[in-house]
Amino acid sequence: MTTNILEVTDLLHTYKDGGEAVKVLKGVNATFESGNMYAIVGESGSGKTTLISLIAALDKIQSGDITFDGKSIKEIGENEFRLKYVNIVFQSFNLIRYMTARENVEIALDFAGKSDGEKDTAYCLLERVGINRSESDRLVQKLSGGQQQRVAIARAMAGDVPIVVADEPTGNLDENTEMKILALFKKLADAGKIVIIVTHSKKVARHANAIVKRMERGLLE
Amino acid sequence: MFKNMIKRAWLSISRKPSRTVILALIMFVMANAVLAGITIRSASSASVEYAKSSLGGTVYLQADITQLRENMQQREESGEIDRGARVGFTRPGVTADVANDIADSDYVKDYTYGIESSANADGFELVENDETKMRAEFEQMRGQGNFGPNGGAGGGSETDSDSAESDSAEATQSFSFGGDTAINGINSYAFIDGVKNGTMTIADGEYFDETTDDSVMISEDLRILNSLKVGDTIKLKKSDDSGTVSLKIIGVYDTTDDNSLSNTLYMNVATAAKFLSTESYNDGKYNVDNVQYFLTNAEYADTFIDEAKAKHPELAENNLTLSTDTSAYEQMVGPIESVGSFATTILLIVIIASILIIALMVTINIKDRRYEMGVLLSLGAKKLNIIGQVLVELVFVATLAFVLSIGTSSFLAQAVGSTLLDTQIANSTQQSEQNFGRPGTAPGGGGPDGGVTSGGGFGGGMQSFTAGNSNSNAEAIDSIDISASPADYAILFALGYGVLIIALILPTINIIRFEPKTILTGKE
Repeated sequence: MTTNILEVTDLLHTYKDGGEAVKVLKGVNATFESGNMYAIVGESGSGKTTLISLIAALDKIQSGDITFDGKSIKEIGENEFRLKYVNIVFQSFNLIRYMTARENVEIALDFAGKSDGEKDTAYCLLERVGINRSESDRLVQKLSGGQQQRVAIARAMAGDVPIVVADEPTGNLDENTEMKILALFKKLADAGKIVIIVTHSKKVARHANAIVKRMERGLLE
Repeated sequence: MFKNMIKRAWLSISRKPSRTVILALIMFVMANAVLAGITIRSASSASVEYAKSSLGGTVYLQADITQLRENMQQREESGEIDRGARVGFTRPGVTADVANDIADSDYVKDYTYGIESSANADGFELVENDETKMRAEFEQMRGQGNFGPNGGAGGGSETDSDSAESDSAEATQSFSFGGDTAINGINSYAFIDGVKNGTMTIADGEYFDETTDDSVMISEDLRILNSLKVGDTIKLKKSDDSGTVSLKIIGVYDTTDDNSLSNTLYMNVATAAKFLSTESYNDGKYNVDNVQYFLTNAEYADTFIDEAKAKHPELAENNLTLSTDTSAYEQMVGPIESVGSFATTILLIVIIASILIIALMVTINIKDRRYEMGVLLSLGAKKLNIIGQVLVELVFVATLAFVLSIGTSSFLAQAVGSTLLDTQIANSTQQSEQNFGRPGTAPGGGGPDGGVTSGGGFGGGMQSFTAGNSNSNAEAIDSIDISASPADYAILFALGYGVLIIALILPTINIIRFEPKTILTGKE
């Protein structure tokens, strides 16, 4: 299996807070390889979420670069990168509330251009994360937090993209569910994807058996 | 991607029924108001157009009384005539040739003119009516020496004593009955007032036309009194005693009016001209009265007048003027034009209100869905695809609302339109009462001549055929037929979708211009 490499180079990022420019990322350098699960840990405000947002192409790179197998996001285009290279799982799930679990996954399959047999594929993906058919056909707002996060993971798997990032994916879940969700991410990593989880919990990092990278004051150690 | 967009739109519509119903309800109400406005406007516009073409507009060629008065005033000021002296002015005449030449225009649908004169019956009796009684009384008073010997030929005289300004004694002194029989020459039987308003019909024979010289139509009363029949000949002495004219009866008319017309004889202009003074008749350039041009459309009046003035620049020099009578048109379409104008105002207000309300609703809707948009963007959706989804949702709901409004708006429009029209007619009637002291009376009443007929006599002038009167008696359009046409629906749909797009673009762009992270963190 070939190794894909996600490389972050000299990433600088600033945002304005009440007219004052705050440097969030101060020159982050990191390399992430496929087949591994990474846990970026750090305190609140250390820049973890900003880094993961840039990796997920949810924000524009101000300075520095992020490349995948040598191709820059700038070159690929943020939208294209989101569509074909990366998927993100949020702490608050960010599912479309008026859709069922299956429909949420189907939407992602459509965007990924996998609309043939999307219904069965969606059921299949949901089953892989522990959501049965009956649950799949319920509106997501009627599912538990753990189930919703599983749906979000299934949706992230729909595009079969090489990078999956997750921002505090177990922040709203109980300990038992947390372990099951982390196991799912581990499975994805084992399947050859680059999985990057942002968490402030060392326990999460330890349980996931992940490569831990510490973020502190805008720099990644 | 497109299928995905439609699918998301449908799910959004069907899974949020309360939002969809509220949106559809608001659009339905708006669509009804807009469609009602459009249809009322179209209907009133159509009614006005119909009125324009049916009334056609009438242009009168007549003496320029204002100019004549001014001329008189100037003559007084220059000392040419004594100030305060009651001097009549010579009314300028219009020859048949000029009248015909002006009528030769694309704007003229039809035209009429005539000659009013009088003659004395020779060998037949007249039907007794108010006029004959008055004549008898007058003759009796004159026999008793109450009047001077001023009697003279009445009808047919071309001197206007400006009777409106004369005092009664002076008017009576100069009064003359002329002949005892009214001669009414007109270029077409169809333009006789009684024929136009349906009170006169042919009882026997046929009607005259321009080819039936020396022929006459008499009344049924006159025929019965004298045991006459179609084909008989009657004789008339000219009122200046210059000769006798024989006329063949070609038709008998009956009228539902009182017997005031019983002694009136109708004939073509050439025949009537024989009863003018010998001098006027012999030179062949006799004048005609009541020259009226009926236009194909009232809108052409100004153009037609300009055309006629260019063709005959001497009209102004001869103190003749071409003028329009818009009173009938205004009376007829005034209320409905007000309704149309009101509908336009309402329509504009509704459109502006629709834009604001729908924009507000869409803005609230879009703000509510910013996370959804952020999620879709994070999944790789293109911005246009997201705008498209919201647009499809709105268009679907709007189409439903618009289609439903097609069924209901006509009732609303009919009710509103009729109420507005009734109000306008009531206002118009009230105004008319205030102005004229009696309801339903047309302003002006007397047509362009103001009731002044040539000559001071009761003879031929008594039975004038003032077609202008019939127009000014036109009643206001008192009903409005509101039915939406496909064009009205097209306007509604185009307007509605236009409003939706305008209402959608700004709030949507305001959100999706941000990066997904900004939207998802709610920091936009």
